[in-house]
Order: sequence, then C-alpha cells, then structure tokens
Amino acid sequence: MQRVIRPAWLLRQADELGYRQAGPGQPRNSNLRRAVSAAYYALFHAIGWAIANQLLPAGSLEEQAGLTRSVDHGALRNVCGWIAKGESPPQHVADLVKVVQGDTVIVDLAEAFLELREKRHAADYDHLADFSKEAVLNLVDSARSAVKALEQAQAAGSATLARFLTLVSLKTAIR
Amino acid sequence: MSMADSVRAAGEVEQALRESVEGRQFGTIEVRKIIALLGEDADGQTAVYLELILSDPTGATWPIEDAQQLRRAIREQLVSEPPGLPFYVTLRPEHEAPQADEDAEGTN
Repeated sequence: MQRVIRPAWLLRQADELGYRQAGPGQPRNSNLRRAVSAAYYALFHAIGWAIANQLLPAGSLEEQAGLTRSVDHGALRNVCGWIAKGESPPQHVADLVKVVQGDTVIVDLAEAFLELREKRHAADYDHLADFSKEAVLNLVDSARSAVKALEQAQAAGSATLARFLTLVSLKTAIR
Repeated sequence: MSMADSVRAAGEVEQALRESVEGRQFGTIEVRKIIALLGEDADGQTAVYLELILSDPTGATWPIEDAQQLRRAIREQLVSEPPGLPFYVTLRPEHEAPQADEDAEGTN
C-alpha cells in the first residue's frame, strides 16, 4: 500500500519507542536510538513538505512528494546554522538571513533541526553515545513543537518562513 | 582552529555559561551543572558539546516551554559571543533511572 511519510506518525512512533506512557524506567537503548531518528525525520519531512508546498502550491501529491526527494540534509544544516548558530552565510544572502533571525519561531525551529540532526547521527553511528529517556523525549518534544510551529507559520502565510524555505530550496537545488 | 585554541574556546564557553546559567531556574527546570566537552560532530568538525545537568523532571521529561526557554538563553549567549566552533546542547537529568535489560523478552 502506498502511504506518504507523515511527520505526525513518526512522532507517535518516537513517543512509543521512548516509552512515554509507560511509567518509570529506561526503555531499551536501541529503542531510544530509533526514537531519536524518528523525531529527526519527522521534522525533516515536515520541512520537505513545506518546501514542496511553497514551490508548487497547486501541484499534485505525487509532484510534491517528488520535490521533497531533492531536499538535502546538508543544505538544510547549513541554512539552519546561519540562522540559529551565528555561522556566516554568503555575503549576498546575509540581509535575508538577518531578517529570518528576527523571528524566534524560525530560529527555534532551526536550532531544533540542528540538535536533532546531530543526535540522529550519534544514535545511528556512535556506539558510545549516551541516551536517557528524559533527554530523548525532550528531543521528541522539540521535534513536535517545531513541526507544529512550522505548520502554524505556513497556515498564517509567514513571510519569514517563506524566506527560510527559499534559502533551503536554493541551497539544495535539484539533485 | 588549532586543538589548543579549541580547548581554550570550550573552557571559555563553559565558564561563561556557568556564570550566566548555572543555578538559574527556567520555569520548572533548575540548571545544576554545565560541562563543555570537545568532540567531532556529524560533519567531522570539532564542536563543543554542552551537557546540562538539570533538576529531575516531574513527568517523563521536562515541559517543552521550560526547555525552550533554557535553550534560548544558551543560544543568545553563544551567538552574541560565538566560540568559533559549532555547539550542541544535551539535557540530562540529575538522576537517571536504571537501564533496561536489553536481553529480556518483551516490548521495551
């Protein structure tokens, strides 16, 4: 059966793997690691859908889904680094980045992406990385909060969100 | 940046955050201790990893609004005085529950 990847489903999976409703005690380490990955991909795909919707608002589901395949993790990381971590953007987009930095909602979203990306990498590759239920569920909440903020900003027609998504689109291009 | 400069930058970040954030309350969260460690990030760059030891949450994790308030305070400080290295923040409870038995049967 063909089903698109819905961020809400990944967030629910992350909650389940993170043992949110199960009372005290740590879940298995492998479940905590997968919860981090699911949370990261929930936000990554939410941003991907938002970009596809901005670029092709009248496009079919299939066309938009195709566009999301081009969104590049590294490009997204770079743009989020300019916005949330004070990393230097190219001179010709510096003013645009400064405008986005004035919107706390987008800066929070960018920081959440960077933290999730880093933790996702550790969860998948670093045998010595240390995960606790409390910290992992906080990451899941960060992802959920960022996805919600993204959807609300999009529904409200946020011009700052449009700038952020445009920067990611141009940094990505089609690949 | 040389390794010596990176170590110095991490030490300066830790000191600055200890002065500005350690012992402070963010909603229900109290920051008990801050530790800055150097490591290699997902892009292979030397980065500062900030471990924040926090008061234990009353539920499964800390309220997201309080955690965001804390993250913003850290971010504002580090963006206004950039360490010259990427930085990442990990939240940890003061007391962690025991690890699960990885080999036991069951769902969790």
